[in-house]
Amino acid sequence: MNCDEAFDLITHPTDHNCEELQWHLQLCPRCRQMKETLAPALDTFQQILDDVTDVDQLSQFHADFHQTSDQESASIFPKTGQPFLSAETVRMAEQAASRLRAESVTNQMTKPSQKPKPHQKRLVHAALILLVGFLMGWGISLNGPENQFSPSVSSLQSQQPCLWIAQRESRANQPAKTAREKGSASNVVLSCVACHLQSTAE
Amino acid sequence: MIDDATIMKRICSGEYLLFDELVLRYRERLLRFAWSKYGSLSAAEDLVQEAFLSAFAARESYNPAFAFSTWLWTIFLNLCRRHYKRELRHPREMVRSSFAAAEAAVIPEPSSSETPLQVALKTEQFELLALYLAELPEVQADALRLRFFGGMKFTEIALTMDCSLSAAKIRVKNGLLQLAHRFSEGSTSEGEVS
Ligand SMILES: [Zn+2]
Repeated sequence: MNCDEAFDLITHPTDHNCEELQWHLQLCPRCRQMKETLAPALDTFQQILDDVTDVDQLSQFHADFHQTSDQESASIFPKTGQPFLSAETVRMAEQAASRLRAESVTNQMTKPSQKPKPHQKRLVHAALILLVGFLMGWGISLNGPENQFSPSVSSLQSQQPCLWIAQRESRANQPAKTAREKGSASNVVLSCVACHLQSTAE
Repeated sequence: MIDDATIMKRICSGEYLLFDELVLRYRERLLRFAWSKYGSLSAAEDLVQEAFLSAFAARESYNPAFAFSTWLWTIFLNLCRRHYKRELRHPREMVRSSFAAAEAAVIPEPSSSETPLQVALKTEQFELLALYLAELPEVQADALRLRFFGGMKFTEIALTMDCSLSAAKIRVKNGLLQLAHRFSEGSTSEGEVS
């Protein structure tokens, strides 16, 4: 283990006492010093986390939760009609998804690989030329109409039922209903987005 | 246990109730994060709910190339920051007044309807930590909250905060150094706090 990995473990929410780290600390005065310096903060975090993740408490909570979830889940799950969601917020979520996707693609491309052979180099050059051409084309297309991003946001205005909440509630109200009936029930329930648009218009 | 990506796939094909499972998996961690940032449970609950709703509404844009948890945290962090900017000029004052208001609402002992999370987070220690976190630069405090309350790896923190891996580590390290210093100063300056 190197000092960088040791820092990961020193600040690890659960594995901060593992044997591997103890061995490293015995041999590395620098990390030992670091851990001592950070101790007042680390101990506080870890104590709070220990309180929260007490296994018995949590499993009890989950048991209680599952028992009461059908009648009393209002505080955990949103209910129909609460105006929380705006189109802007959904757009934010979509933008986050496209950024993360772009980054995962970049990460895959920059993963360490073996040195390319000459013919592979030629292929890479050809691909680069294609990429540049593609990017230039993209640059031009950016001058076009703005609306190509985020199809679902643009369709939000035209009623997108919050199917999750609708399905939760239709199940809670009529447990014996069939899937098809649930589907039709959800059509009746207004979406959270629609509620929001309505409430801001009022 | 079904993994998050499979759940999302099934949600996108119509099994919407499976989203409940994702809520159960992440809700507590998100709540801890927001509670330590705002000192108010109801504000924290609203933000957590908004994050889940927007992830559900934008479910078609999810891609298994990245982790659902990273996406959810990214959405949530953005919502928190928007709220933070909108709501306050003085984070420390807000956290302190929220905790003070909660204490004023007389709660002699934990009521039976409280979850273990609620009980644990109603400690003086948590309150003090939240106050000290509010004194740090926001990126440092958020990195610490993601690391400890979110239980995230540094690579996930970097993705969520849109920064490099080393920047994520430096934020956590510098934040911890300042917090440790603040805790060691101890109660000397706390007289001025209360
Ligand atoms: Zn070391």
